[in-house]
Amino acid sequence: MKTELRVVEITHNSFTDGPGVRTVVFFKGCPLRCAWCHNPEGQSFSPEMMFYPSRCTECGTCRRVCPNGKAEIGKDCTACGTCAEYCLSGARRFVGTLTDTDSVLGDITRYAFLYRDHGGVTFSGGECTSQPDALAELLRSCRERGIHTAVDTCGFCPSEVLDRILPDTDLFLWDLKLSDSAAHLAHTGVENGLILSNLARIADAGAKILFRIPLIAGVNDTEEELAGMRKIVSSVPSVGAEVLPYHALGSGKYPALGKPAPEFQTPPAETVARFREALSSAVRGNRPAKP
Amino acid sequence: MAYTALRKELADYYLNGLEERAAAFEKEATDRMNAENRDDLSPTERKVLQYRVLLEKIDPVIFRNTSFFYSTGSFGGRRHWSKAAQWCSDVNNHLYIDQDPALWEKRTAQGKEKLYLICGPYNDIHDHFVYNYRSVLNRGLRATYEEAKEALLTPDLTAKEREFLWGVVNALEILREMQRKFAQKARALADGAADESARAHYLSVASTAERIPWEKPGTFAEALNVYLFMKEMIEGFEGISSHSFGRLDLDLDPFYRRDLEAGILTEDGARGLIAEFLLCSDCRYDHDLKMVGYADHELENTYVLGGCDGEGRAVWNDLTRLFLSVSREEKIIYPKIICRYGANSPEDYLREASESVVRGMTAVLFQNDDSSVPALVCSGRPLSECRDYLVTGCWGTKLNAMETDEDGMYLNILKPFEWSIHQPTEKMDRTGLHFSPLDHAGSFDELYAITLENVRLLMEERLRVTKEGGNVWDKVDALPMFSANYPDCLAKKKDYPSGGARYAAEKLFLFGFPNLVDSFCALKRLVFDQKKYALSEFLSAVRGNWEGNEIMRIDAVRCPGWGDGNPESCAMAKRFMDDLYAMAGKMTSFRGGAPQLGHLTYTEIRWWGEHTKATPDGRRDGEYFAQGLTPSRLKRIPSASDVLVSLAAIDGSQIQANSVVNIILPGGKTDVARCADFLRGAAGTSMGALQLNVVSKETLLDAREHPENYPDLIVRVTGFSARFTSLSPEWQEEFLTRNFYEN
Repeated sequence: MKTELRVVEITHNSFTDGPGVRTVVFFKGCPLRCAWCHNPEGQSFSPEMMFYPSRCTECGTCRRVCPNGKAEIGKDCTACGTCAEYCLSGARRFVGTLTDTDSVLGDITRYAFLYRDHGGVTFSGGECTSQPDALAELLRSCRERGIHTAVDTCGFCPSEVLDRILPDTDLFLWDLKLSDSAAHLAHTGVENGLILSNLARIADAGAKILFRIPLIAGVNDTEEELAGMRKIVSSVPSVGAEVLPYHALGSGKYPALGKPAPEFQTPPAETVARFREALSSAVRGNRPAKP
Repeated sequence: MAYTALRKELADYYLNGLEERAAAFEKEATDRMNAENRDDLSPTERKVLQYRVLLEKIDPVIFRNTSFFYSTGSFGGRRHWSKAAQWCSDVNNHLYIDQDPALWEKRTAQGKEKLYLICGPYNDIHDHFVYNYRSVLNRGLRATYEEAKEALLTPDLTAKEREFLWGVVNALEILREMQRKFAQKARALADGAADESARAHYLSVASTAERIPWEKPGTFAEALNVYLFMKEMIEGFEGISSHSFGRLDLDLDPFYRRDLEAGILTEDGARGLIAEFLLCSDCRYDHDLKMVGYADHELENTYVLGGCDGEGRAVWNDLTRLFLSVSREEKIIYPKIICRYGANSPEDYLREASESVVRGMTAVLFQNDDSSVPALVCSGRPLSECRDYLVTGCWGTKLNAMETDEDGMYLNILKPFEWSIHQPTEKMDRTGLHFSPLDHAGSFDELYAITLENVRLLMEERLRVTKEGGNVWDKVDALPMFSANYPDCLAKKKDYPSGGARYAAEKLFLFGFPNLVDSFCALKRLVFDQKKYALSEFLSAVRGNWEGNEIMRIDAVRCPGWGDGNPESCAMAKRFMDDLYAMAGKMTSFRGGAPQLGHLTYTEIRWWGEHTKATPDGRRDGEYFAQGLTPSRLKRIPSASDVLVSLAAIDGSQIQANSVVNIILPGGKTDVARCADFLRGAAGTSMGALQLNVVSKETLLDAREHPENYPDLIVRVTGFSARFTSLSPEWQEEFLTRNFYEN
């Protein structure tokens, strides 16, 4: 049975989202609104058009192919994506293709020979657990084909979703943003209670967890946060804690989506090093998975 | 970078006035050879006359800062062989034309129209040879000399056999004399030395030159010297270029180990010798020379590291590591390194080989054993010999000093396609090649069949031209110095140009495969499947260079195409490759047997592209061709994995003459572990040679603006590596418009 899902994109040859060579399926839509998000095109659950004026050669092709005859994003645009298909300069980009699990699975398996013994597929986003039926189906199908699976999640989802996907998930990339719940609410739009209870739940069930912690100057690079994160990291068995210093690579996407770009800073190198050392030392190590 | 004194001495010698000195030498030597020439001399006799004059005229050069002796002083810089040593073949070269002037005229016309490139008149008579250094390492020249003398006593020798053996004996005697001249020169320099250190240096050189390579080398240092000496002699006396040192880590390992065990060498000592050895090549050239012409940075000579030995065991030893690390530390561009690899290569090796690429010093070409060895086996060679293959020059694969072949033969299969659309009547008349038009094809299969038949016509014509024109080679030139050690020339008593080598092959390097696959995909989908455009309408737009039809052009570009991993394009590529292979299998080459197919494209991606009109893949008049099996840059392919999926769709064993793919992975985000993973993935595909660069577009743009900040940014361009800042603006643009995956 195939299930529909909406994706930002599917990339191959990724080395940054789990071990080895990986296909990464970026689901569209996320329940959080992290202010520093470097994938803002993954936040909305609806299809969107992006426009990069600096790349536009003003060839006029977009206007000629637009079904509405205008191609002005944000006005009469229905985000059908036709203009992006014809935009060879890359000035226009459509995000939010509606696809189905059969198609995505076909894409994953065609690349399977590249995964070898330690690569595989990572389901990311946006927030992949927000489209649970498609996610569960894809994970099960990959598991049946012997493809290593990773789920990159913020953990903000009904616990039943995690129960459902846990048996078919080889690795959770658990994005840990802030330990303080009030700060979490302020910076991401939700409190972290559900996230932490979900973390405890999957850890208790024997999930393999790799923490990934975005480090943003002035947001979570404080001593209090470090202590709080250490407490969370050490509360469950895990295989590691990666600190990912904030980078501005995603900032150009905000104006492309018609949104103001956030202004955050990368923490000083010594702060990053200190967090890395402190959080790595808090890792408890993994215990054998439950049979 | 270290070795300042050696670098300065070599640069002073090679880069200051050598061209003028070589020209004067050439004039003096050729005047003398012309004076002594007689019409009744056979090519071998004429060649021996050439050897003798050159021996007399050469004044060996011995450097103060390296213990290696090799320089004849008769050529250098960017020349791959001595012009004076080309005299014998130059005298006889008219035979290529005189034998059949009409054929020559046709070959010239076809070449001018970029239907193919033949490196040489009909044969590649000066370039792309590989000397058999192993023989000299293992037994010295004396053993070969004695074998040839013995063979001369064989009863019932034919005149041709006798002449060849006589040539070999003479050639080796000349080499022995040349070696003595080096020893004498070194002794003279020792006598006049200003200090004891210099005197000891020259005496040491003299002592070595009195023994090797006539006797086999006894130490690691002597073995290294054999490579430099024999390369210079072959290029300085024979007038041909030797394009690979062979497998240095494999072949030198016994010398290295023996010296270590004997306590006469340390790893640091070996490191120093390797640095000197590599600098003797690297410092011959000005790497800041601007690349403007056809092959300004093409320095040809390679050496192979890694891979497996004849038994299939991985080659990864101290020397592999030392050659890679020394090249990196000393920023060596030349000789070029070929790193053979496979899915089961040691991880440490893959990471070491990737290190310089990741650091932006790309002097490495990666060659996939897992597709290359089966392809060579399918060409009928024994497995153990195939496992020992080399990659020479730009990227030609060949057995290790065992076969006669030609690596400069490019065949433009996009040209018959272009002409079948644009129908340039006058050009077709002039070249005698009339390609059927596509206009009346009623279905895609019909159109495809017409195209295949047009390609067949070109392939047949190209093979016919070489077959009818190439047989005169052994009347033009003789190569007894080269052939003396070449299996099985001595055993067969036959010179290399007469077919003395163990194997022979004729290669067709196809040019334009990706553009053709993309064109097929576009025509099939838009004209025949979707019927979005009529064939006449579509072809008319192509003929008009897409002017006024930009949306149609974008439609063509948007169709599936080679390298995107799409099942439709993969199936098309497989179909086309299978058909090409089957078609070639029914042809007979000049050397017997079917021609071997490759997908290699040199700097013609620009030159031939500029002379090719618009094509149905959305390419406009004059735009670049795709390089080898690299996807067309018209396609916006996001991931290098997409390319690998496409490469996995075609059968690598059909590509017996190698292929090349360009991949640029993002700088800063790609580390050696990722490179190693990528290489292992690539090993499972039909990929042959991989020109891998790890660099971001932003870095290159900044280097273009501020070259002073990037003196050591080395990129793999097209068959060679060069400093990015030394590329002409046009070549920088070519590089910058390539596909930057995952950037």
